[in-house]
Amino acid sequence: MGVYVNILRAGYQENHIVLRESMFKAGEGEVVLISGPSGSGKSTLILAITGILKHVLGGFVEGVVDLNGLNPLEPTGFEEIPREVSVLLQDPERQLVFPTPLDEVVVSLESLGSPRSTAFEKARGILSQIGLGGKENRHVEELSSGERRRLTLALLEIGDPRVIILDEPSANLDPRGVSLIRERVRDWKKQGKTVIIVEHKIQYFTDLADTMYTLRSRKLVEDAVRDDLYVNLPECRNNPAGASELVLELRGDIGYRDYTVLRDVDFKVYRGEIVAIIGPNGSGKTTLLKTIAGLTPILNGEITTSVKKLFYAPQNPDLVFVSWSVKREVKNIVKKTGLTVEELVNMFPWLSNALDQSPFLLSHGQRRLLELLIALAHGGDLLLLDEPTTGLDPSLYHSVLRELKNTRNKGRSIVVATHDPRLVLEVDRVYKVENGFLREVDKCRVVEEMIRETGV
Amino acid sequence: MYRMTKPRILTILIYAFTTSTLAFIYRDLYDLLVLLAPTIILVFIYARRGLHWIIIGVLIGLLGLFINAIAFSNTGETVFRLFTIEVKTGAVHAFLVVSIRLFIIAFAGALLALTYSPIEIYRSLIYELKTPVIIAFPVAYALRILPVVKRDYSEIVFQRKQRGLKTNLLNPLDLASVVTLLMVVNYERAKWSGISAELRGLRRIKPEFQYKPRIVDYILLTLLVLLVVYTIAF
Repeated sequence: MGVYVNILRAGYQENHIVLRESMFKAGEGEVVLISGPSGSGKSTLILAITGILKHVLGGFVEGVVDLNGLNPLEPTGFEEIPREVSVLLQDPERQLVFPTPLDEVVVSLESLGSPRSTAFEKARGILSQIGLGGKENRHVEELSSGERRRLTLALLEIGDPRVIILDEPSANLDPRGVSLIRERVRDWKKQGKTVIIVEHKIQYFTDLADTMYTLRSRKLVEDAVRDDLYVNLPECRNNPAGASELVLELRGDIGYRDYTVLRDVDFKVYRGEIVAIIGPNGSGKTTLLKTIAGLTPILNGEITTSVKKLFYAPQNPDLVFVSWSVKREVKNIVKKTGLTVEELVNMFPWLSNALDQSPFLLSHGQRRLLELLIALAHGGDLLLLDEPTTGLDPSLYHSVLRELKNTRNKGRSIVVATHDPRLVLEVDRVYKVENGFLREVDKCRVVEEMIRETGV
Repeated sequence: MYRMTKPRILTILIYAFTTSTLAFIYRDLYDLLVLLAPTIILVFIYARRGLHWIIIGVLIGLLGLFINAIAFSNTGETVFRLFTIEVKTGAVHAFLVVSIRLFIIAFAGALLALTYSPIEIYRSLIYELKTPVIIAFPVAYALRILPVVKRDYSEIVFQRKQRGLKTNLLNPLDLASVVTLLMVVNYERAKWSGISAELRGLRRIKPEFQYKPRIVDYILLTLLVLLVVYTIAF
């Protein structure tokens, strides 16, 4: 059966078309890979083909959609979608809507027709299989991010769907997480499921894809399947350590009142360098940044720093915004930093096209870019950036990289927490979090390791 | 440690609702004391954790009740003098009636709120009480995102400080801008969670009424009937 999609027009409002003349098809056991610039409508495509855009968000979709024999554009087809189709959203955390893992699984089972009498027992079995036995009644927020990821993947497979849709599955994932997703995609292929992947970092999935499409000017265009894994990456060079002023030193234990996240930390940042912190999801990278920023107090030890001003940009860009339009955000930056609008637009030329929009209605990548602009403008001598490259298409990624290098060349220091090997390749020094300890590691070796770990 | 079997939530709901309603209706001190006694015992059996906060709250309320009784019901013979005020039988009676009424309602509420975790309450809504998904889901979702909202709040305040903006939360304008952002961020989160719920077929769940009383439920319901009959008959 597989999937057939031919969308003539789709959008959130009748007078604003987001997608047009977009066609693709995939048979059983085939993988379709869809890419496109940030804000090009990739997530909208998923919402359109699952019927959410039409039936839940009040938008419109004209055309034909056939997901394993179901037409989600018709109310009866839409009702049946959960039986045939599973979707992993861009932010899997938002996929978890119940307070405990047990409720998540029980409700999913029930919605697929499992009787309540057996749903609890089945759910406990599923949770035990994914290593969450004994944590069924813990609050989801108390699980590690790895555990939450395993839970979202388990939810995806409940009911044995024939079509699986993944929206940016590699976003915020460590290399092992990417490898886990790749393994699952390979298994799904073997099981004859149709898989649709929407992704910026296409290199993670090109070898698994049967067909590849790109969204250009609101239209889906078929591409040749490329195998360009990191072909454009520069050669890795360990930067020679130059004598430089120490701007920050953190020694001690960090974490929260009830548990220590990292022990015996010895972390240094010198003037004019970019330092990367890498490590698995939930290992303590964000906690380290928050401790340096002063958002989380250090447990034991001390932080010595010569910087007068620093800026911490969190993973969720929305938390940084203070205005309802990009124009007002820019005005605010100008007022507080003395930079001119021209200087800001020169940093990220994309900005000039987005001035009239609300920051909260931009795509994830565009919001990330605006957050980085705010951080770079306010940043002072030290910038702390948490996953600065997630959601960025290649063009936006390169503009961010250029600005980070410019900032470094001006003698300012940057600390990035990242899973992105492209970015690690460009930094001066790398610290890795492993088993509750932070240690400085050889950059070129870890980049190789990261790429290898993804299993590509 | 041995723990008493908890009654079903519906049983406690019925008990709390009935006793609170009767507390409003009854004016006789003796009837109210008859209602209060078993409620206190139940609270001490099932809902001791956190009870001190309820008692502190009620005790603070008593001060207001006493002033109210002096102001509006201070008639009859003098019982005692408080500084220059003569406290009369009417005020004492009114104070006792309203105080016991307040204790019954507070303890009945405590019985529900302190006996069960929020998760147990919402599970009961979904799995026992045939609550439509449209009501039960927001309760479950609120419990899901409560810690997230708390974390967002501290980050928003921190980010505003970083950007050189005021964070004086006693200033209504500053507070409004923080709360508005908090709402926007969580609206966005809720929107995607709603989409996820739709895609997972949440609306397909058929609510059920599954009240399976245990011995403790029969005991409690019998006690409640006896209370009602006794206070009406005598």
